[in-house]
Amino acid sequence: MPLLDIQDLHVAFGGLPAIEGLSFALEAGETLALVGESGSGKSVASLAMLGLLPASARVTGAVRLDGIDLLTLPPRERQLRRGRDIAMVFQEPMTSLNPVLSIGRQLIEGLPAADRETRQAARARATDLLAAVGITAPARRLDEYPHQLSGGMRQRVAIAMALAGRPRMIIADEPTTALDVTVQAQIVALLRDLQEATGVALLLISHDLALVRQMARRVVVLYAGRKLEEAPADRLFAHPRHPYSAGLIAAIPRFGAGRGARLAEIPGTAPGLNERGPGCVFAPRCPQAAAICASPPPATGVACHFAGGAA
Amino acid sequence: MSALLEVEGLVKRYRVARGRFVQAVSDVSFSIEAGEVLALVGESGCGKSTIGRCLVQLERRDAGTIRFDGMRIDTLSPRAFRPLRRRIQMVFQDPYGSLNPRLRVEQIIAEPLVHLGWAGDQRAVRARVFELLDLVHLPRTAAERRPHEFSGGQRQRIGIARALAARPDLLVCDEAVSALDVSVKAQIVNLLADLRAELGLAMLFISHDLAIVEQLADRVAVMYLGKLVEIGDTGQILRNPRHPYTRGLIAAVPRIDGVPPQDALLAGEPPDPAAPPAGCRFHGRCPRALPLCTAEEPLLVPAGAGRKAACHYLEPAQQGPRIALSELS
Repeated sequence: MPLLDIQDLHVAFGGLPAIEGLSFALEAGETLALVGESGSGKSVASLAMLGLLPASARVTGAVRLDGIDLLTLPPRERQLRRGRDIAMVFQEPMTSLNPVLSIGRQLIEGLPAADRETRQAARARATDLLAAVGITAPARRLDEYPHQLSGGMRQRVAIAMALAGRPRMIIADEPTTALDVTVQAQIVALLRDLQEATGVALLLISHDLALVRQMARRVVVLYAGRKLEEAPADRLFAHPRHPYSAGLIAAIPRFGAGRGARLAEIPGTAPGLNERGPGCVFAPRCPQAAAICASPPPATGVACHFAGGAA
Repeated sequence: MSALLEVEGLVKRYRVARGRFVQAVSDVSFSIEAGEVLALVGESGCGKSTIGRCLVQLERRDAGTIRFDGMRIDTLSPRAFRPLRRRIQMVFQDPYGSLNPRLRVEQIIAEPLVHLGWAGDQRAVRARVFELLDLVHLPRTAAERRPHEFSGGQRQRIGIARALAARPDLLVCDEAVSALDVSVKAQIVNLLADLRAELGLAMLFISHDLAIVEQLADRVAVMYLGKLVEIGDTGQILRNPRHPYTRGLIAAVPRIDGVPPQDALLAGEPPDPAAPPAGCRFHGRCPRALPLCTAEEPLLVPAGAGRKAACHYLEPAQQGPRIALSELS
């Protein structure tokens, strides 16, 4: 049984669909990436899993953690399970840090009761966590405040806080997007090392294909609220089967391509929430689009009439 | 023939507290020829955007000279600068914040023309607006609409059309494609490359994205903590970086395939610009730093093949490309 199993997830705001029929599963210890551009629904999907969407959102489908559907649980129990098993790392580290509390106090608050039996034990565990995310002089840092840290350090602390509760899975939503390239590379290396050391599963949410390439074993490609393709990362980058995946991969600027090399473009822009019909959502921008694309694409495998059946 | 733009010894300070200053730009010199694209790269806070803002007088420089077409422009009053403002235009990062939401696209694009005294000739203005919409591949019907009706990429096209309205000689692009989605980013990068070829525009292309810089720029200037550390031909700098910082920046470029040289990955982050380290500003993060580096600031000196670098111990020059390009792409 997968750790997390999303089945036919639909999310709508005011009758407009933000996510339509999303299904995927995350195995224990695995890294899976949800890739998409703005408006693809990738962040909405993660908030729906955590039950963090506003009450105005209409959510249907199933989000099973260890086989138990979180969407049908009473809020209190859902919160309990979610807090125990799933942690979140956001793009902006200050989303999860409180500016007026010391780093140590915030880390200790997130520790499970067993790690907090004595003050010394709690401080020791918090120090270990900071050391694990590569913060030098961790014991001294416990008494500092977030504003005393650089952006990269804050993201390291946010990751330490995510690890504090010994979760089985971390959802990382654009964890490196707000950071400089040199620091991005450091955070990528850190997340990879931590995953190897702790065996935590990682759901990476990103628009950055290069980041996804470096971190994920498997990739789900989202576009305009729908899943277009799911594949092992190696396969996807070598042989994308959906024309959108192919276009997206071709559009990445390749370092080393030389001057004057032209980028492959995808013409047009993604459809808004009110511009999505029953047919293929990518058809208006697709070089292969034909009359048949006005009808719904295959519901399983690659979501393209021309991709030739199951994935 | 003199360069289109010549910047010499540029200094820009900001006061952060009483008696405490940050030198955002510290003694920077470079030039841009007519029709040339110079990229300015570096981490956030290195001063690259401040330089762009000084060129169009969004900021006043504290010391140094800026010459445009042979004329000193840094000493001009805002009024005296106005006629030159037409020839130096800026494209901003945020296509949402940089367009007035209350104006129609036609009014936005025509704004520079109105300042040039075209206001009396509505027909000429409209004809030029259509010409510009064609140039940036937007439908002419866009003229009647307002910014909120457009996506990020389309808004960036509107911002580019506005910048081109007065036929500038130099375009300052400040992270002009950074906020865009991958598929749309490619469209705008290609558009800029085409416009440059079609119109013979010179550009200062401020960016942290080396893969895009590689495709657009003739020359690259690398900044660290307010200082220029290396400048020269794009191919030279990116294939055979001689400053250890440039080498670290290149190693950090996320790659779709191929593995960057791990030994060059930089640790740490840039220090507080309000209290820059003594000696070489990069020494705290430099894998090659030696005692001299903490004592003495290296000068930007010729480092072969028309390039300059500021390092006491330069990376070895061309012995065949240090990083084979075939391994990267």
